[in-house]
Amino acid sequence: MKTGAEERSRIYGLLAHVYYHEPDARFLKSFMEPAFLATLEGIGIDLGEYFRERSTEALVEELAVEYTRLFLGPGKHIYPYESAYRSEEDPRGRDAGGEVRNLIQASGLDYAPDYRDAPDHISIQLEFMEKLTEAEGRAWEHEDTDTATGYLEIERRFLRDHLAQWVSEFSERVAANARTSLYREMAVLTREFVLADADAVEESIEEVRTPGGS
Amino acid sequence: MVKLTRRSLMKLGVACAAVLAGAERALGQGLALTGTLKLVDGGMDFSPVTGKERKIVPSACWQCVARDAILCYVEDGKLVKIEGNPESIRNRGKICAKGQAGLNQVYDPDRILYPMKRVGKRGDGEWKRVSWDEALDEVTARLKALLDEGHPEKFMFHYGRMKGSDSKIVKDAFLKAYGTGTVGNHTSICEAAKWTAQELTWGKHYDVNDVEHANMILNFGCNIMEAHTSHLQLSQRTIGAVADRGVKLVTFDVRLSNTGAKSDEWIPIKPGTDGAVILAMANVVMDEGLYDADFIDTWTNVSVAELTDHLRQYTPEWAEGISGVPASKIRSLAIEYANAKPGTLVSYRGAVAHYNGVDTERAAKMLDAILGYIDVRGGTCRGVGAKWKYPKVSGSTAKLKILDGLEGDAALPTHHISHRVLDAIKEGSHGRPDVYMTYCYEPVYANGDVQENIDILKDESLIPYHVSINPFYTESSALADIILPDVTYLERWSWDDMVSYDMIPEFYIRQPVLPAPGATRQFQDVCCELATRLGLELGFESAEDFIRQSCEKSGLDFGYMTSHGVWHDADAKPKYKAYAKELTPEDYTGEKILFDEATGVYWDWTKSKAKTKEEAEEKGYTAMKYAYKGYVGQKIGDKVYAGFKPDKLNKSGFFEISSDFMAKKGFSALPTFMAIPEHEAMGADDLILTTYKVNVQIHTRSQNCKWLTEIYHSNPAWINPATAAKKGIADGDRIRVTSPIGEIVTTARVTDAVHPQVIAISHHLGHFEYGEFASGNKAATGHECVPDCHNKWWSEVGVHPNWIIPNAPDPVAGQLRFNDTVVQVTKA
Amino acid sequence: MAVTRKRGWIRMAKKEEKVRAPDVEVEDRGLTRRDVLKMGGAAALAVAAASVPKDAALAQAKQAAGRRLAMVIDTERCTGCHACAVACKAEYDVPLGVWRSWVVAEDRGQFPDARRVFLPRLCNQCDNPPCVPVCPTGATIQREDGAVTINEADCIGCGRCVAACPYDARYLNPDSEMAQKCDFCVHRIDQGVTPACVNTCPANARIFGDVNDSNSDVSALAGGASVRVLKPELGTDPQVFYIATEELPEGDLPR
Repeated sequence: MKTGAEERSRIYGLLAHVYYHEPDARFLKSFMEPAFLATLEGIGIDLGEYFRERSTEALVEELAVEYTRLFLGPGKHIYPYESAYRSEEDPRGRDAGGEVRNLIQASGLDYAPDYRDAPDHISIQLEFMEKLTEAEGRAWEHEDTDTATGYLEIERRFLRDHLAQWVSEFSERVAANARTSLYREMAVLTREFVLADADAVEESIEEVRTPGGS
Repeated sequence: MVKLTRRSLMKLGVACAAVLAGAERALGQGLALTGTLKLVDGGMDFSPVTGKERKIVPSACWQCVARDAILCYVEDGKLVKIEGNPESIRNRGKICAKGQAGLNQVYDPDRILYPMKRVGKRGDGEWKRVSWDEALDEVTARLKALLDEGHPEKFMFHYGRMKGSDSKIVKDAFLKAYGTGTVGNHTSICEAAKWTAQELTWGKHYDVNDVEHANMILNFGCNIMEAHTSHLQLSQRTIGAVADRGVKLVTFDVRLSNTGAKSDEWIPIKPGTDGAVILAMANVVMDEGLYDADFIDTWTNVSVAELTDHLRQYTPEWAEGISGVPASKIRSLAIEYANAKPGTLVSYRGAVAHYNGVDTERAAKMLDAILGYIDVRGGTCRGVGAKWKYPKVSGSTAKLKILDGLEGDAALPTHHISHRVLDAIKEGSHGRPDVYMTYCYEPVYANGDVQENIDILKDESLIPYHVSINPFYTESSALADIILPDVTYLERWSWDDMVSYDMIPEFYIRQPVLPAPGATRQFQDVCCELATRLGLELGFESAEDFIRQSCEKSGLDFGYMTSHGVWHDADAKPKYKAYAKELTPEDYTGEKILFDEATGVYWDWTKSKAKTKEEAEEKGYTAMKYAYKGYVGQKIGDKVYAGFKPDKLNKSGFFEISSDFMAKKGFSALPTFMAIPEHEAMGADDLILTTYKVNVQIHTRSQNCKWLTEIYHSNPAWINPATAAKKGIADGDRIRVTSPIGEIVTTARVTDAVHPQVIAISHHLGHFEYGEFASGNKAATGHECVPDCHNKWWSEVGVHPNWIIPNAPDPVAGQLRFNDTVVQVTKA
Repeated sequence: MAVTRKRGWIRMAKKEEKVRAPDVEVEDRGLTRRDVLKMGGAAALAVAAASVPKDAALAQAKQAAGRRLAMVIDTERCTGCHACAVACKAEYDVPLGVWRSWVVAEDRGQFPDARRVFLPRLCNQCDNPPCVPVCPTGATIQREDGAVTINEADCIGCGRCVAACPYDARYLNPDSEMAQKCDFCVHRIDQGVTPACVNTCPANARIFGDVNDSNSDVSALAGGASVRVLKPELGTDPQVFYIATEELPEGDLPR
């Protein structure tokens, strides 16, 4: 059975990269390759002429300022972590960070020793999905359906309980406040992809469970 | 419209792989996550943690200068509660509202978590995050350039609060090794007049009022119950004395503070006239023969006759004319106080932040001295704090002469004139720093004349490079070129040494309760890195290392200190009457020790600036620079005593009621009453602006604490009903308050709790930066904040009085005359 | 006012507090008891006391049946510092805009005889609480020792108890919509530790304990001459007793 785990992993990886820190020159150059921009256009993501015309150096500076303004401050900015979006009615409480951390640590992964940002940061959650789907993909390659399904279950739980819960609100905020097309369009892609993936994971699990399914 | 089909996703996935490869991020290599995934049989489930473990981490507060000992409770990696450390003999397990709200500092949603470099013009508010390497590369380059030029003094470091090991590391190690002595402080906006007066009289601050054993407490202008440098130690012992022993507390103040409210008597007094009342009381004491002749004769440098003669002019009737306090009250209180045996006089900014603050404090100490209340149990004592031993660095420093104000500002600015630093930079005749670094200091609001502070800080021609070390984005750091994110006090290592009201030293430490969030770093650690980058040898690698070494040198177990937070010698006795300790010949004889005939002082000349013994002998103790550092003892009669050890000035070991230093500068040798020129000249309808503190806020740096600002977020101007009626002002009216340098518009609070000639405005509020809770700027995008932000129910931010208070220094110490400003008040 | 402070169970509780303090990694530091004792002082006593087993502490705390919790607030001592209010906010992470404990200051008199009185407020833990009978689910109950508590699992957020309380002591949490109020810090006192507000008060103005224990400070003070309660005419029988030489202020919420 193919769930496209490997490809999903790369998309999660790219998105994790976008939110982890300001883009450096190398990442930007690679990102702005015509082939990639064309692929994006193919799914309805258009970064616009302005983006194409600017030099990498100018873009790096501009995007650094944008990234700071959007996600770091000082002053009003968007909080890129789940606990800021937890509704107060949520009976689980407000400690999304602790929950995500527990999940990640229980899975055998941990935070890099120099990582100091919030444990439920968007980039962490996307990277966690990247790792899960990557492992899932390897399991499918080895035809280890049980392990692969196991990962699918974790992905489902994580998307349902965490990432997919707040990705909409977060992405919409970013899109509404971004001054550059990169962050605006990536925010749209983030929402669309994560929500679509949540559905896809459900379907995949259904498929695996259905007797006689391939 | 984004269209994601299975197929397009495949394509996108492949394309993303290419991007990641091009960005040289190998597949499988992590960004922030490390380790290997493993699947646990039966899935994974996480129920809410039951039975939460709460870890206790002892530490020390930093919400104010009292620096009390605290216990911090950590649950699931979160700091949830702060309480007083019951093992502390200073604050005895108690902590005030500000200390409790220390949590709010850590979880302030507007904390700066990364180094920030400005983009665009200074003050534009546009920033870009940079790495520590980039930030320190830049700062190091600037500092190195100055070293290469041979001008280390052009690196100015200006701190607001820096104590204990924090100070030793930065000032006595790093800045010393670097070679700059251009180090600014904040003392002149605080109580420089009080410290200088004490240096003229008995030596180093702090004065400790031993209220726990006193039989009467006179209070001039201090708000014990809401502030004071040892707030909690003093307030709990004062309430204990008042409530448990029925000790009489009398408060002289221009308004009814909470201290006045808890006093047996609140005596309203005209601003800046406390000195007159104290001198009159001293006169009554001499006149009635209630003085301690032995103390005066033996330990002071005046005679009973001299004193009686001088004080005769200060009659209670004279004092009544100046202060408004009835003569009969002055007389009866003086006698009652004299008979208290012992009593203690508390004085603070209400009395000393004036033109005549120095002499007022000198008079206050004199009154206690002539009654024999100095350094005795239940009296006014010399502060006793822990004497830590720590790694030392040698080096010599040079400094720009911009620390002591402008020409003619003050005669004896022993604690510098911090609020005139920006003016001195502007004036320029003594040079300007190339690098201006601020640490725990908010020059915009800490000083008077706020507009001028802003203008000078914004001007790149005056201040080429401003580095702000700050956990928060404040009005001052908004005018920086680079912000280095410091940790809060709950995330750093220090040892500390505040005075102890039990008169027994207490050693205590501060330790990280939580790991530093984001990329914040304790500034003392940053200094270690800067030192390495600049090739300077400090002798320690980090703040933690410094604390460990200090514990070792001081004979303390580091592990014990981190477990308990505090330590004192259980066998130690309270140190009263330290001055009367007799010295043995071993103490005062030796190669290095000289005897000064003129003063009777024994001193170690090698601690002074003298290059040879001959030079020291020739110049003599009084004239030799830094001679006081070598003070050993005082000869009185045919014995040698510890005496009153001098600080900052080459004073003798006597309790100097009469001061040659003052006389030499053209002031009266004996304390007098110096009338305040502006008050003498004020119009009949003018008022005097006084500014004060409240119990739930500290200076300009607690308003980001949501629990504190929830309680206090509005600072209307207090005005007496009779005064208000004359001006047609009703409670809640908008009023205009105009001073010689500007005006503010604020709200009137008509209240009986204030002197008719006074308008009183507290000084904590009026922020336009410092985050959501302090400045009221709601995040435009709504819910980004911690959940509690949308529960914020108030919108006031207050009005800061410092906009209209001039940066005027008192003529002796350079104290900012916060409580002297004459204003016109009209309905707006 | 000279009051001889007698020993009562809350003094025991204070000692337990000291017991809890060294609940840190003394062992990890490789310190032996002897090393610590060498350091000397009262601190050593605290460490030694750490060997008192928790069960014993609990047993001491729950000593008597017929125990009635009460608080005496000495307004003569209170300096209006708000430490209690903020301690309570921290202890329960109370949202902004609502309060379990707060302090009221009221100015009185005419210049120059102006004066100010302070009134710390909290739930009065009434002996005849009007909030308990109106709760439709039984979420709010009165314990045997008198503390009135709320079981949030059963709370439906109807708000009737908030309306029923004549002292503004209750609120609906703006985020969870549960009814909440001061509960005398039962999670602390059941472990033998003083309530957060009592622990922090620098003026020692809050005295807490068993008013049925004739040896306690609380019982001695609650029966004193200048003792008042809030709105006695309502018949709620408050168990928070104020020592005050003049009439108490209204005690309104800080908003």
